Amino acid sequence: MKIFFHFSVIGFSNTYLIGNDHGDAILIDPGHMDIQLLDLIESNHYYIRHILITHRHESHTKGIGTLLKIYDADIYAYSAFGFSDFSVHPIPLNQPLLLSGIPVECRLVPGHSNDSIVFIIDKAMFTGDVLLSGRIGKTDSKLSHSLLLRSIKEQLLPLDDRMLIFPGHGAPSTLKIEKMFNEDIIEDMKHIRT
Amino acid sequence: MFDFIFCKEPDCHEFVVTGQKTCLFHAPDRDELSQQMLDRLLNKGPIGSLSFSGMEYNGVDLTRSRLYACNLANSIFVDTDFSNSYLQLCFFEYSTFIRCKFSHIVSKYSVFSGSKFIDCDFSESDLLHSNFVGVDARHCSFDDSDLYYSDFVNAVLDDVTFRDCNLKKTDFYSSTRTQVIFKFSNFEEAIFSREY
Repeated sequence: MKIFFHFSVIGFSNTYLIGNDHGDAILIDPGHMDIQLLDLIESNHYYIRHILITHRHESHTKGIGTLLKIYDADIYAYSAFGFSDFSVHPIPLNQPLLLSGIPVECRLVPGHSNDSIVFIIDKAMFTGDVLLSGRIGKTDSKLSHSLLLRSIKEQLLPLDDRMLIFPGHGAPSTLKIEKMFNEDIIEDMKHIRT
Repeated sequence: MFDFIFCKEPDCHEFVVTGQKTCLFHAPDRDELSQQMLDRLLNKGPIGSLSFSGMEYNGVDLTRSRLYACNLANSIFVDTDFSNSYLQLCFFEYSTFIRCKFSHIVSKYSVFSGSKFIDCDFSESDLLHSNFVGVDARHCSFDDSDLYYSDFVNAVLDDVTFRDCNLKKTDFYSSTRTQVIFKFSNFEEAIFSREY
């Protein structure tokens, strides 16, 4: 399995390309389809079979339309709601997907948005806007902030510390780093202790 | 990407050295393996998906290296020169860097979190989407560098200079800064606080 990244200058988001040894690939969060992304896919001789969406915000989905004109790919998101232009497979949360021969575990982690999904592939975690390097995702209320922290604590923190984190924006990280240095998580843990 | 396979020794949390069954520490022929890995690094060609964490480098010339998706975490680098290197999706977390040169490097999506930097020079570099969360940096220079979307959350920065840098979306939230200079940099576009 190979992991490539692409930075979208529209929406400032990260798109991830995960390829198997046979030329099939998964694309996570195509925020924008541009010539650099096409070049990344084609120069590595991949065909996009599956598109995974961490959540339905424009900076993570806007490239889908153009991609589907080039590749006959299946789209997977938490729910088909809001994707009126495309056919979307709702993600089954309790059973792993097998996409391009790659097992993908999907965890619902609401807070940043109600449909936020974290994809786990081997020891790599694609967190969208749920958990980023040194911070958690932005929320629009204190209630959503609390919900996001609780979801992270229940769904992500029990995972292996060595898990690599590939967020929707910014630099990659690891779960151990976030447990040690993510101020939002540290603050929350302090509240629990007191 | 390097293989996500862990050392076979019980209670060891390290990734294996590429092509081996153990991490470097538990390798039966540690010195020979270290030399083999060092030779591969010194080869200067592009190196991809290699994992060899826990190495010690002293006075090694790694200038013009091109490393892609490699794992060099938990290592010690002393007087090591990375000048003019290209680092993409490389993991150097929890390492120690003493008197190392990173001038004119390009680092994209690389991770240096939890590392200690003493007397290190990152000047005139592109450090884009790079993770410096929780680093302890003393007497270091990032002058004339582009730090777009890099993170220094919870970092301890003492006598660290960021002169004439691009700090757009650079995150310094909760960092401890002593004698830190941002002269001629767009620090107003950096992040120092959180909004919810």
